[in-house]
Amino acid sequence: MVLFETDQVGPDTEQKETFLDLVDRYGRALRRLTQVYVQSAADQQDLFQEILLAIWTALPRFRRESSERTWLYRIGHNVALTHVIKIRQKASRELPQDEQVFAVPAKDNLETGLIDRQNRRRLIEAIRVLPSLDQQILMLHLEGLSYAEMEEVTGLSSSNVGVRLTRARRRLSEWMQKVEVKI
Amino acid sequence: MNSQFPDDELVKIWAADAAPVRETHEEVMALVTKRQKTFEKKIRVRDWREIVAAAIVGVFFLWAAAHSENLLQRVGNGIIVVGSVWIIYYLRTHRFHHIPSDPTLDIRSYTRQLFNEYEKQIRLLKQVKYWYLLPLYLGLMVGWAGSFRRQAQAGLMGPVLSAAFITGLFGAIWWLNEVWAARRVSAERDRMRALLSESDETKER
Repeated sequence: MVLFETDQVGPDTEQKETFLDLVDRYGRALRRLTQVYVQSAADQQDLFQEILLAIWTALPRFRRESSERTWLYRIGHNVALTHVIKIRQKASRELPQDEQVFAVPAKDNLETGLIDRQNRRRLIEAIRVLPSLDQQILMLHLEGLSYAEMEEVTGLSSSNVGVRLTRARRRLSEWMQKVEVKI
Repeated sequence: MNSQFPDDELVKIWAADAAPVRETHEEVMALVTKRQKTFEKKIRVRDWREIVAAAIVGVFFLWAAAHSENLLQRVGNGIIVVGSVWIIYYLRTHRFHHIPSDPTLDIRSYTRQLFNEYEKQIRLLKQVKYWYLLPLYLGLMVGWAGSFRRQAQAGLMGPVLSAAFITGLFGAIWWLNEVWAARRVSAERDRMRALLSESDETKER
């Protein structure tokens, strides 16, 4: 199916290029986000596609008043919030975790890879037990956003973000000690 | 963070082993386009379904009004026709002019928008008895009264049962909207309220 003519020049082509560039640069981060919000690989893929659609639809209105990174995380978290509501309404949540969620490591890195996978799974579980707002702030922190950027994404003040983040990190640390994460 | 779990280690664990974007650019675009089409179709179907149903009801009762046996039946059928037009108007005003929540807002503003959206939905559901059920029920009952004498010639049971059936049906629709659906939406509205007060709580500290 031909979706876009490759030699087409115009807003659509520009939009397509910008969009694909964003997917290349932030796709992995958005996938990580979906792993915290929903459990099964199918739901994660569904949410990921929904986020992509929201980005594609909103892209023509993006005025660069905020950084593209904070703009994308806003969309990611907001779409995830609505998606979780839809799943809850369908009552089809909590499907068994699928192996697709975590990529299989290369054979020579198998042992390290398995520990990484296990740690990552535990980290995601630890984040999931936090209150919703703490989850969001912690994910943004782990993605390397500054307080000012987190403020832009969440709509909370920097000091509020700080309070939440300190509390979330403390809880996360306690939880991870309990499950004995190897580092 | 304590010494056992320094931040950089957590960041490493977080970033490690995440599944990469597997799709090629063409596949990503195909997914987005397909999803967009499905979404637009879903919205169109949702918006037109009830309007088409109301239009069919309206046309049918317009025909029935033209062929009514007496004035009371004609008035009853007329009320249903006017009611159908009113329902179409109401749905167009309240649904087609609805602006969906904007996901580019910050999370707090988006949550507030969702909260307001749920409040509006609850209000609409709670008013179903006025804007949807009342005009149709009133029309049917006036029409029923118009045909009462003819129906009653074969005994009272027939008209009583038909009135009971209509009332029961409308009662069930009322319950589904005002109790069952409103309760489901209220649960989500309460979750949004909890999220909002969670962020307010931090502000007060």
